[in-house]
Amino acid sequence: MTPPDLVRLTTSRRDFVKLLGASVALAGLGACVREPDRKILPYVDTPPDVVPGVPLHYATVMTLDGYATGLLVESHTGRPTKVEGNPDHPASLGAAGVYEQASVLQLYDPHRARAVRAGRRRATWSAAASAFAPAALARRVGARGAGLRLLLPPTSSPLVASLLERVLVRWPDARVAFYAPLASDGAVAGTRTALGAPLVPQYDFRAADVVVSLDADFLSSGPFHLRWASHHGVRRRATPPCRLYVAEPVPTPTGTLADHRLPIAPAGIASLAATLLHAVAADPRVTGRVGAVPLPAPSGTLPADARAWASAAAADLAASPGRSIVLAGERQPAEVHAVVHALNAMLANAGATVWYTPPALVDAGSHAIGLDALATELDGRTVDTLVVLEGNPCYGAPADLDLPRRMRAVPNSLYLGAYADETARVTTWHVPAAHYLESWGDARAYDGTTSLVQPLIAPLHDGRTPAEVLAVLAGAGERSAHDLLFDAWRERHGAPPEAEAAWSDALRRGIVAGSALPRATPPPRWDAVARAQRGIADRAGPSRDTTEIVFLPSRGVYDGRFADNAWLQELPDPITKLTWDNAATMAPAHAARLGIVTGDVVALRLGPRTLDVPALLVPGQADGVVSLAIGYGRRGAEAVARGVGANANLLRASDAPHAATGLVIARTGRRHALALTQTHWSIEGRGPSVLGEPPASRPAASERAGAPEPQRKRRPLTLYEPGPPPKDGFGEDQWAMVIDLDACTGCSACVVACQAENNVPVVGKEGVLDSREMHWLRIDRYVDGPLDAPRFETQPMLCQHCEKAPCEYVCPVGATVHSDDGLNEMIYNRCVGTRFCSNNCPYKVRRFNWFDYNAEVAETVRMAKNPQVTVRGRGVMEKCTFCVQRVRQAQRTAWLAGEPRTGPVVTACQQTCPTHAIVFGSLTDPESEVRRLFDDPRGFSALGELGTVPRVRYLARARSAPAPSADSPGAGAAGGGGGDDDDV
Amino acid sequence: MSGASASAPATGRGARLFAEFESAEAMRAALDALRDERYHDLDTYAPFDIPELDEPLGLGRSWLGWLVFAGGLAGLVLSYGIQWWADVYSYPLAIGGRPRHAVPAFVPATFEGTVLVAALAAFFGLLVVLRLPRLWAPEDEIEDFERATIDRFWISIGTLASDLDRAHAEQLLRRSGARRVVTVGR
Amino acid sequence: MTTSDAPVARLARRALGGGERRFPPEPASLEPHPVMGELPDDGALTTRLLAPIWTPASAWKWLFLASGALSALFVVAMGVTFARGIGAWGNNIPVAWAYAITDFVWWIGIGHAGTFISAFLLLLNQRWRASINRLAEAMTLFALVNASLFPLLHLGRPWFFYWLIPYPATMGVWPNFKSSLPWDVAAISTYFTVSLLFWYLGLVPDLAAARDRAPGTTRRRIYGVFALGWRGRASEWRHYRVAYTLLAGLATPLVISVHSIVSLDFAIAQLPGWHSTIFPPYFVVGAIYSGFAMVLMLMLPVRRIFGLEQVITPRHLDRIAKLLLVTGSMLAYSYLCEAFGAWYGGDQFERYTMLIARPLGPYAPVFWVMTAVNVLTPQLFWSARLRTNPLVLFVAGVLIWAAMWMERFVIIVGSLNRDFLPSSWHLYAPTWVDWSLLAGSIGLFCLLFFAFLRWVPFVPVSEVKRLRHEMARDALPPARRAGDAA
Repeated sequence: MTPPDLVRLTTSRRDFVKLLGASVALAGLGACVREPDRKILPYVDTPPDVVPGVPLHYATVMTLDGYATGLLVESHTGRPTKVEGNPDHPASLGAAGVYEQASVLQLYDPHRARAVRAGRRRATWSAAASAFAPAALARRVGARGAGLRLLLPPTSSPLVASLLERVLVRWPDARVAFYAPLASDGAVAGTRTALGAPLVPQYDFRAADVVVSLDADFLSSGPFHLRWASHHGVRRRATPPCRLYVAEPVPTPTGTLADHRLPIAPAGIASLAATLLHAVAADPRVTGRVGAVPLPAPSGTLPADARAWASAAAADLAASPGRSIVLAGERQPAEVHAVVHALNAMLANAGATVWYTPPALVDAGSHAIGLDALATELDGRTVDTLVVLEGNPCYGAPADLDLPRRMRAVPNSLYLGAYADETARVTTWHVPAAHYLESWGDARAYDGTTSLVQPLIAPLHDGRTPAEVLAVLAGAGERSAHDLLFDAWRERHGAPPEAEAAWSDALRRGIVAGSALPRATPPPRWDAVARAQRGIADRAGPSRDTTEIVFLPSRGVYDGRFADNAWLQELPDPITKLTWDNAATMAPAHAARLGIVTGDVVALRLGPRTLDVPALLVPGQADGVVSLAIGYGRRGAEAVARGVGANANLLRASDAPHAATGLVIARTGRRHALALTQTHWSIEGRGPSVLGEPPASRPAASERAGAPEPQRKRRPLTLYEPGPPPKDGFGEDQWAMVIDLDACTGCSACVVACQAENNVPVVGKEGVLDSREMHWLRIDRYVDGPLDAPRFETQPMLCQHCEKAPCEYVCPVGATVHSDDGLNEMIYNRCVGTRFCSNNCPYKVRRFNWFDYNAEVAETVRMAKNPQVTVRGRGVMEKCTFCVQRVRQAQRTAWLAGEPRTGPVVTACQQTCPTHAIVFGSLTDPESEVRRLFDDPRGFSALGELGTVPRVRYLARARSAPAPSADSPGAGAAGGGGGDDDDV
Repeated sequence: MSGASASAPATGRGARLFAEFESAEAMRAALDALRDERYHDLDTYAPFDIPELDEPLGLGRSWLGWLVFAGGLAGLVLSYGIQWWADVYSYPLAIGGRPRHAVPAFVPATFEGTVLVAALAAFFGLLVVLRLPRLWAPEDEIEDFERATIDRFWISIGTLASDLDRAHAEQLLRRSGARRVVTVGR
Repeated sequence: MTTSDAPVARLARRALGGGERRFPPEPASLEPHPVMGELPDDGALTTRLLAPIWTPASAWKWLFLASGALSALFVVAMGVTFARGIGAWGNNIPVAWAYAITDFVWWIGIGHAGTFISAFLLLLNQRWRASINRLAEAMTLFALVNASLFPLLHLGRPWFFYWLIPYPATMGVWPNFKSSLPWDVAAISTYFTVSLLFWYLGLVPDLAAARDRAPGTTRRRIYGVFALGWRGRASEWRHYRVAYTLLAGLATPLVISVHSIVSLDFAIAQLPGWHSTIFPPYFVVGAIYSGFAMVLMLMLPVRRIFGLEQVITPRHLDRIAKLLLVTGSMLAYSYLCEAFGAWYGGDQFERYTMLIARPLGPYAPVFWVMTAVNVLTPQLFWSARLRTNPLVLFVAGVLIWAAMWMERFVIIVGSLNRDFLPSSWHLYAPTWVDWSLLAGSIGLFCLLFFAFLRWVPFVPVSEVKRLRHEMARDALPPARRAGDAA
């Protein structure tokens, strides 16, 4: 087609819709819906009465920094449209995170690279394959491959491991570097120190009464966070209530759920850990068990509140040996991890709630070099050929490595990447990488469980996988990933019949049975621990006079790999609600001292490097700490990402990539508009009415059992005069939802899930600035109490499906009415757009199509739309429908099967919620969980006094569970005063 | 047709006699004089409304009010009926938990409908009663008759039995101060 | 006039204590200003009052050009809105209604003074209304033209506006009459129709006069057609009089109902700041208040430019000033009630909106300017001297006119931008399209009003003549009154 996009792409990113519109030139790709030509097998649990038109689900996995998360992907006539978690997969347990949920949009991204490039010319895969085949390569890099270097992100793929091995056999002098901007080997190094072997810790949060997290956001980030969030959620509901201690510099979803949260500078974490270890070791209950352990006293630089927190936590830990967990953040230094491992051993948690497994990530052994070593080699002209397999290091590497310049100097380089990004620009060859939904492959979860990656669609842009490139380097020639994988499979599973069966089983279930790595709990080496303890004592603790900076993954675009994903760019940060940007977050007190307010552009100087970033004040952040998300300031071909935010990697140094001290903040006098979906943080004393009356502590299941619900008497179940029973039978169900605010981490996976399921459009930064975001489900964030140590309130807010809906009676044309089964329905093609319904909605959950958001979306992106959900046009209202398409589907299925009652309906948000905070079902089903939870004593209706009789009930978040020891910081007052919010 | 002159030939029963006066008072005096002489089929032309003339002219009450009243009733029934038909009978919907037959909600539109039809009845009723629009009438042919809407006052007498009557009437009118007396039609 | 037996007229008469509805002669001592100055005889008076229609003036060209340009801007802004969508405005969630609805309520409020003057005062037998009622009615009509445009404009899908009207659709669907918006449709269309009929009916005798004074056959024909062949027969006057009084009687409750219904667009919602039972009277009073302000803005220049001091006398100024004082004080009382109700009701959300957000919130400046102007300005008119000072009246009119727009802004945007959940609070900022629609609607109003002044008898000639006639007769000793001669 004509290339108007090339012209249009030069326009700024400011209007996302325009940009996608520019890509309509890709219309031809609309025809590229090709079933993969290899046989793939549907998930075993798909309904038996599968018919064409009914979507199929396939199991596959998505990897992030090497670790796999198991998924079930919904496919409509060969188009993957929706990603859900695989209940059988240990890392998922049925849930999926924001990245997995949004990955389907990236598959259809019109800005992906579309052809192999050699130099400036368009080339073919065969050309690349022959150019990098051993025959051709030998002339360049020498017989033993002395001039050959490989750079790839951490991977757990057994296939890649075996191929890498073959490559290194063929090129013994070649060297391999693994790099990912956010990866850290602190944990493994810690085990090497404390336990004498490279291991990774595994946890069972279901058994933990006390959890102490040292800067570990284990509920919403990390390879196993979905599993851990699920288990912690289970534990939070059980009796006796568990207690969560979190010490962190920057508020995280885990921190917002903490019973005792301590804001502390990153440098303080280490000494805090040391103090904790020392206190626990000194506790008689512990010494009684493990005897006295000789440990040096920690440096006394901890602030008072931190010492109090540590003593409270230590006492609590010591009181629950074998039933507690201490864990440290992935990016904490090895000493901290060593101390933590020692603590778990000391508390007899090791073997009970904590155990260890060998790392699942591939290790190049003696051929491995670090990125900094590689960088210096590149200068030394010793490297002739560099092969970069994904990861975009030229963007993600710390600035001081100056990787782009050095890589440009390499005479022969190949980059396998999905986009013509920063790295593709400096390599001589660029091969488009296949999206995981287009690829064959395998990967291991954090615990080692192996899964097969099976494609749901043939590569849209003829993309390749790392395995295919490695095969070429190894001299295996142009072999497809499928063949490589299947060969490797055969090698492992013997003769064809069994192999085939195991293969089919693995594809169906999404995991290879019994592939988890063996457990181990080696005893700690106290002398090494003592050395680590001493090392911490020597290191400078937190000090008032120096400012620290921490580099964090963006909640939206991670390390920048998702930068072109509009869903993720527009996903509000769980804490700050910032979209389409990154900002230097700092504590209000800190900012006040510097005379900075939100939106001021500040110049951050770290050593020789400076960066201009807008400031954003965040209550609860540690004073004297600035955090900056990486993943923004992209300069690649990702048109959506262009001009969004600032590139934090320009500040990072290879010696301190995750946190650094000595930051200098200077005001520039400029302002920058930050697109926040929520600009008002105070609950304005409306807590009891909005967030409910918090119970003193999480009630035991026993207390919950069938507690009488006063409201049930006052409130009718339905709003109808007793009339003739509904003819279509829909009225037999009365749908309702319960959301447990005590379990919700605010991770926002549900927001993306809703967006993907319901074809929710993206409005771009301008739209968000104008408060026109379209999310049907948003997560409200309130901050209560003192700004330095506040209580965070999290409230998913969606259409409440009020029985007495204020929106309905003001609609002049009856475009929003009530269904017989209690849904507040929106009839798009009847809506004339008076917007009166939105004015009269107390929850402000209705969204209006201010422009025609869908008209200009690229053809490929249209392929991501859910065919079962209407795509809304300009000028109509829309809102949460309780996933009516799923409800009706279930009702049809039940009706066809002649079943008496509708089977379980799972909404998109509920399906992906790792903590199962969302429960949906029919109130007329006495067995349903929603029926039981609707009568939960913690239950309340948001703004219940308005008499809207919502069908969504919230379970109030409990007050902080008091520690057994004396008063401890963080056990703050719960939001709001008294008054039964449901009185009407 | 012309023939608007004092010396017109004998006129038939279709003819009307028109007399022009300077002031309302003069016209009123002449009118009383004609009434004393039992002249009937009288009418007057004035640039503005002079209610006092109804009685001497023997004009009764206007019955237009009843028409408007009927219109109002029709409007009331119609507008309430439409709302009931639409929201209660034809296509009832479950809206906001409100009863389908929500009487208070139907009141405003009902009132407006009532007033609308009543007003239309008043206006178009008037046009019908007065047989308007009627852009031409014989008296328009009288010279300077335009001033009837400006500052002159006219009396017209119809169905004069004979030329004698006409002469007498003309005399009477001149005596009571008519500037001109004109016969129109024949 | 003698009364007819029409029910409405009869009611009106009973309200007035019955008896002949002839203007009672008033003792001069109590009234400092005559209702009418020294007037020439009927002929000259007619010539004088119709003169503006015939005499071309170059000033017109410029007036039409200016107002036409603004109207063009109106059209452009509408085009942008239709082409791109409501997104071209500053509206958002939560502020889904803003300028368009503010303009709508403002214009429709202005539209109330005209009918009030002509209908109310006619029934109440106020002879001073005679010389200004047509001006006021025209203002009403043109204000309504604007008012009826905005609700259409602000629809997300304006091309489906007719879905608000009950008609037998193929899908069998109907409007939802539980919503106040279909009430609006009924109220506005009815009000516009009745006002138009009332205005035109009153115009007929003067159109006839214009026809009969028209220089040249073309204009004679044109006015002739619109005059419907009116000749002023007593037999015509007799029915005409009744029809006119009845329309007045119908228009009077309409004045009350229309803005009450408009107020229900807000009052039936449960939004703090809208959800209030005093809204209907509160809105009606405000409407008439703003209407009189605009009457002053239009009447005073017209009076000056066309030299109508003898027809529009200090008496008129005095009367309108007094009405401003009354309605303004009632409005002030409404403001007070609103705040008190919020406090006394004890609802935390209403308290916040009325007692914190409005006086201290982001739109506090607008709130305070609005309150100060609307409450204090009319208090000037306790002074009889100021009541007849055209300059003071004109300035007061402009101030109130603008402040009443602000009142609607405060009610609409000021309530929406901070409602129940603080998480959804967001400010509103108008775009150039919003501003253009406001300015353009003023332009369209001016264009229509200039056209009216240019081609339509804007002082009811025949009523003035009759008034003069009756006053002359009242001046005579009773014995010699024409009416009692028999």
